[in-house]
Amino acid sequence: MAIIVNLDVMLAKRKLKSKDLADRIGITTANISILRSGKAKAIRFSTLEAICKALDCQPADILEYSESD
Amino acid sequence: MTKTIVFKTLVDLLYMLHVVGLIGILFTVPLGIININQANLSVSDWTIWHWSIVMLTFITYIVFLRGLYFLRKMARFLLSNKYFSNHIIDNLKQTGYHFLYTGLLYVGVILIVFVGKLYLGTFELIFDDNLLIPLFISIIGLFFIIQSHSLLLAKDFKEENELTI
Repeated sequence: MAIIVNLDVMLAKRKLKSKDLADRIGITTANISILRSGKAKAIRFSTLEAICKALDCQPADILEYSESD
Repeated sequence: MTKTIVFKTLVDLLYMLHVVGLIGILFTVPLGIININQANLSVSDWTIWHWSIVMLTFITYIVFLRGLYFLRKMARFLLSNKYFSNHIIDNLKQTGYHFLYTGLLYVGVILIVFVGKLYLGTFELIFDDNLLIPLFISIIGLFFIIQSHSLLLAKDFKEENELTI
């Protein structure tokens, strides 16, 4: 997919685990895993907002467009 | 669930009856137990035209049986309640195509008979069940193909919905 999810990078920068993020934003770890693996087909604005709020970052820090794929 | 079980049982029954019938034909015909006549002609007097009708009818029947086999497979997967699985979609599509081909081949047989009679100098227009059967089978076949396509679309939507975080 042309959109790359850099959630791993942001989690490492904030020194957080998937489970902690899942607890903070109220979604399951399975869904976090889907996001991290890049299998997700879409992301809701509400989820993106919650992630940005929890990680104190911008959407562009999490999502990246790559022309290669 | 009850409806699915009844559906599966009926499809199984239909398939078994057809297979038993086919085996019966394959055993009784070569042994000469029954006398085969076509247009009041004994087998030994048949022309290429008669044989082509028999062969095309036989091929049509085999295609229909194969379609029934796929329907049976689909019904088996239906029991697992996974309506959007690839097994159900693929088998439904196969059933549809086989039923559609059965209908077309059947129309071919009717046309051969009609043209053959015309060639012999007889013009016959008969309206009976034989005309409605290929039409019905073709409609069912097309419906199954459309249904499999809509199931495929539904599967994609479901997958997309499940992978929306």
